[in-house]
Amino acid sequence: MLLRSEYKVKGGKLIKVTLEVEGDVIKSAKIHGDFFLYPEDTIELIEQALKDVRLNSDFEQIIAEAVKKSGAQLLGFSVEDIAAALRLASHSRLG
Amino acid sequence: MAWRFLDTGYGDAFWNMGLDEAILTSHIEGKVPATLRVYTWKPSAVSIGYFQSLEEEVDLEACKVLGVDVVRRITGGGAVYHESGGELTYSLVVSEEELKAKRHFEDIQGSYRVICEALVEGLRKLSINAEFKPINDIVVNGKKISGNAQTRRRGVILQHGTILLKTDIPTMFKVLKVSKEKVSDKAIKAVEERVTTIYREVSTGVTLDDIKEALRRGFAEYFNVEITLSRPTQAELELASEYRKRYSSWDWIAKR
Repeated sequence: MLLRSEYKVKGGKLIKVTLEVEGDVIKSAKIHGDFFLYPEDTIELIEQALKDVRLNSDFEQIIAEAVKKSGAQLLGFSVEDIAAALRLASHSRLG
Repeated sequence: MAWRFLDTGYGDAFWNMGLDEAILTSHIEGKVPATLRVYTWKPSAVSIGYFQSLEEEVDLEACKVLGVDVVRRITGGGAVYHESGGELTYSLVVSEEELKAKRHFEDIQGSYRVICEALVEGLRKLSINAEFKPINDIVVNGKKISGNAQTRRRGVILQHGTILLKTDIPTMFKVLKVSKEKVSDKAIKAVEERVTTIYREVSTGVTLDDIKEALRRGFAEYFNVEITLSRPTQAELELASEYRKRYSSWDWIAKR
């Protein structure tokens, strides 16, 4: 089952989340948008870190860890914004 | 050391992106100095940001019908419709260290600011009173005239951006799938009222060459550096051809 969300970040950028879930477990996560993230391939690390994670997990902590691990810098959005977009997608199911 | 100024004229989307990256690689390897490049697009093309979804942003069928190419950038940011003859694109490749020695800034946002301020300086030469609008836009009286995006590799910055000359909003809406959320948020004013162009802002007959020269002088004065007309090296051209293959591959375009 696919869960989607669009989350507008303060300042204008947009985060789009697509989650493929089985039960309440994320099997794959895609985070798209017009934000900036350095280095860019950190996005794949974040998506990887969200695999096999339950929908009620602490997304903020999972993303923060992946960001820290690659020494990434975000511009136009924050770890909290990604987490909010993920929660929004989760709630489209739980809601 | 003087910076290079390259005017590479019209190119297709894949070549244009390939040469930007070739300059980046060449500067990282210390083979070429910092470089300001200006270029245009033929055929018209859509470029999407590194993080964007191809299928969610681009109407591929419409692009096919209209003969519009689609390319994914190595830089983040949003989808852009590059109309052939409708805009001028620039790229700047410079190490963060050298840029900091020219103009003070603290962080990545600061590096966008100084590069965009150089562009603003160039626009002032055309009597356009532009200003940088964080995160990555340049506006005239609140209307967007330029969007910019940068990537960084091994301490070297590549920032590229477009400067609108004129608009073709109907075609833009055909080739881009504008998200519902974004439309609703910005539907307050028509797109035509939210953007402006060089040809709209400058009443006298300004030519493409005038604009290119204004940018060159703007960057040179703002960064207090000589920027001299040059050409890509043979190695850069070969590298650009190599990269062009990746940029035009479906694997890369549909990567996300």
